Amino acid sequence: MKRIAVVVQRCGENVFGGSETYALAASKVLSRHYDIEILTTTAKDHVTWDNYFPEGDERVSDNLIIKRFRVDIGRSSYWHRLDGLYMSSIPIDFYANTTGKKREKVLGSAAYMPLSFCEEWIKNEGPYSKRLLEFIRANNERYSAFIFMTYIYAQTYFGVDEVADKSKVFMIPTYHNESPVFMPIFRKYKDCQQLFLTAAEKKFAEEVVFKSPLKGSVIGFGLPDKFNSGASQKKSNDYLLYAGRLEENKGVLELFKFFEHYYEHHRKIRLVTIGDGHLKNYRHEGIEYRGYASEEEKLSLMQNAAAFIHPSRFESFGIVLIESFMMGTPALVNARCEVLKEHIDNSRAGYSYADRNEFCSNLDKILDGSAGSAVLSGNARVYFADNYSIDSFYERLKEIIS
Amino acid sequence: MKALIALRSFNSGQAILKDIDWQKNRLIDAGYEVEICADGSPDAPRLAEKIKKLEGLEDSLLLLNYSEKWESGCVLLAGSACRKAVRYFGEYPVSPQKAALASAGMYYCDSERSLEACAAAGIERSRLCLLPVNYDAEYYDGIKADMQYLHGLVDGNINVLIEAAGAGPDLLEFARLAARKYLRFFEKSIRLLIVDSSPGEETAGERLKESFDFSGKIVQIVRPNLSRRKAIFLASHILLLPSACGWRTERALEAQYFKVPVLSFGKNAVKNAGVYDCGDCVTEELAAAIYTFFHDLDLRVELAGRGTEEYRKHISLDRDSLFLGPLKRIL
Repeated sequence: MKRIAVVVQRCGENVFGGSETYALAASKVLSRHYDIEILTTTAKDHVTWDNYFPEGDERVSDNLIIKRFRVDIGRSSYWHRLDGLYMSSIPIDFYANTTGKKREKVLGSAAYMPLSFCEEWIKNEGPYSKRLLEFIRANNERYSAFIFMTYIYAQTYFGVDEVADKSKVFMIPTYHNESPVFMPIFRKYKDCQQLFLTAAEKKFAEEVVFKSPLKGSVIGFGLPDKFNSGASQKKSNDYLLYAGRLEENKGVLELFKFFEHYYEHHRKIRLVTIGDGHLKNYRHEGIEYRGYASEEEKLSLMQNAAAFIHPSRFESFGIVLIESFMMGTPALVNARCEVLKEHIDNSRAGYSYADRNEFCSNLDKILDGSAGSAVLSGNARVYFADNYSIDSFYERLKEIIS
Repeated sequence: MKALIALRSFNSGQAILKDIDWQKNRLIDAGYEVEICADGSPDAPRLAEKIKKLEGLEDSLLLLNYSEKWESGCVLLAGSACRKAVRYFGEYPVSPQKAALASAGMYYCDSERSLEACAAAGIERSRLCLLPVNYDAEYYDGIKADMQYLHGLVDGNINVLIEAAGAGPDLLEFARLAARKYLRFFEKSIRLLIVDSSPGEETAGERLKESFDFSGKIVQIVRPNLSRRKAIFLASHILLLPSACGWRTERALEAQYFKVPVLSFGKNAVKNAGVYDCGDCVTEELAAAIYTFFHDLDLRVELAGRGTEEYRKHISLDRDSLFLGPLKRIL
């Protein structure tokens, strides 16, 4: 049986995050046919990258092991100062808020960032694990392929250099429109085999970031169908759901403001949130914080919600949106995120919003039933089944890796 | 068994001092009782006395770390009856004086280029061997860059770095002229960073005046501490490597470590997979090369990547064998 390494920044039970979830899910599906070893760090917290899990091996199943290596460089105030310097040159909103020549000018200014500065930024962003990199270097022959998850973290940036035979390298970059993606140093990925989560991500990478065709294809994603057909098919209609980090750069503050307005002027419905972050301290009588939820609890909340809200502008895929579609729940997403909007346009399972007015009017459409909430719900299920079934994902992955 | 390591001064670069410390330890490992003597005075009396004592001993070794301006050291070596080896850090052009050192049994060159230059100067190839400088830049891992410097330098300008100590006054002036031509013919966003890291009197022949105002187009920085030095590398887009410098010098290795791509220029410019070679050019051509090099992002990324490979090859060398192997032949 061939052995494959999946390299990701952190991994384990109760480790939340899009790329981490993706890495574990892809590893589980690949372990049907391959020996999978997830090479990761002992970090759990994505802000500090403090060492949390014990170093060493954790067997998940017969064909799946997680190998964890100690973090040497977590995220310190030094990185925040480097980041502040970078962000002052390349503001985070520039791509979404600028157009034409102005956008080109700002993009051009990213090229002025010295390669050495960018590498220091990546190294100190964490989690940097010297032992993980040494392990990859010493064990090239042990694996027939290395799948590196996310373009931005140290294990990928430094890890790809440790694999001598580049034909063994597969990247799932999860590019999206955030400032670091324009760092010139990432151009070294240009010749790697890259697997994109959506067509929008591939288009963005080729047309905006690299400005040239790239090797690789759209791999998408797949999930085992957890829809509970035995449960009541009628939505509770008394709450909206958000699942993810409670942080401003995920669009959560804007969501809270829009929701407050909706709550005061349209309908008194609850907004239930799952996840953690500093915005859990934001207070409003309609907002309910559940903190971390188990997988079962999360899916149950998704299935019963009147609508799922995805307010982020910076996403490369939106796994939680696909999970909510799997549970037959329509969605309202931020229209300024092309990837999320593409899911909505292709599925016809919800709406997008570009401002507060659209947020309110489109939420009304879902909740009033005027758009036929059962139709939206049905569209969500069909979109999931047609595009994100676990079996078709497995076949796509297997074909590429073999 | 006794060995004497001779050098002109302890005011040498960090890489050279580190290399000398390494020579000492390797010779101790090989069973020698080791003494180090630095004597750059005109007749080098202390060194002369120590060499005399050494000559009367069996299995003794004199290892001279060559320095261009150290005539007394060369004279003493040439006249000594000891078993002799020379360690050459190729920062200077080959001179007739150096060829006179051919009486040494073994000649350790720090780069392929210096080895070829020595062969061209008449030293037998059988007595030439390659021993790259014992230097790695890993200690920078534990150092945080000076943020004040970084803020001053990362401002949208193209920072072109050159080390005064390696360049010498003529090539330094050449680089200054090229920067002015760049400003005139290409764009205003260039800043030439001239850094003088030499610790003592062994300077490039001119003592630079420090300029803390980073808004200028030519900025001079004298002996920055490690934190500032790191900031300078993090802010630099290009390292200009004058031809007189070997590829494996401290500067070039630091540039490779930090992912600062290298552009070499001047007569006999360094040729290497990780270097953009501008060759024997005029100032306008160097300015044009900087422009091309900076604006071709893929070229910069590719060369920086190759530089990393070269650096990794360098630090993984079995230097003990490269040193002790040839030494056995003359003992």
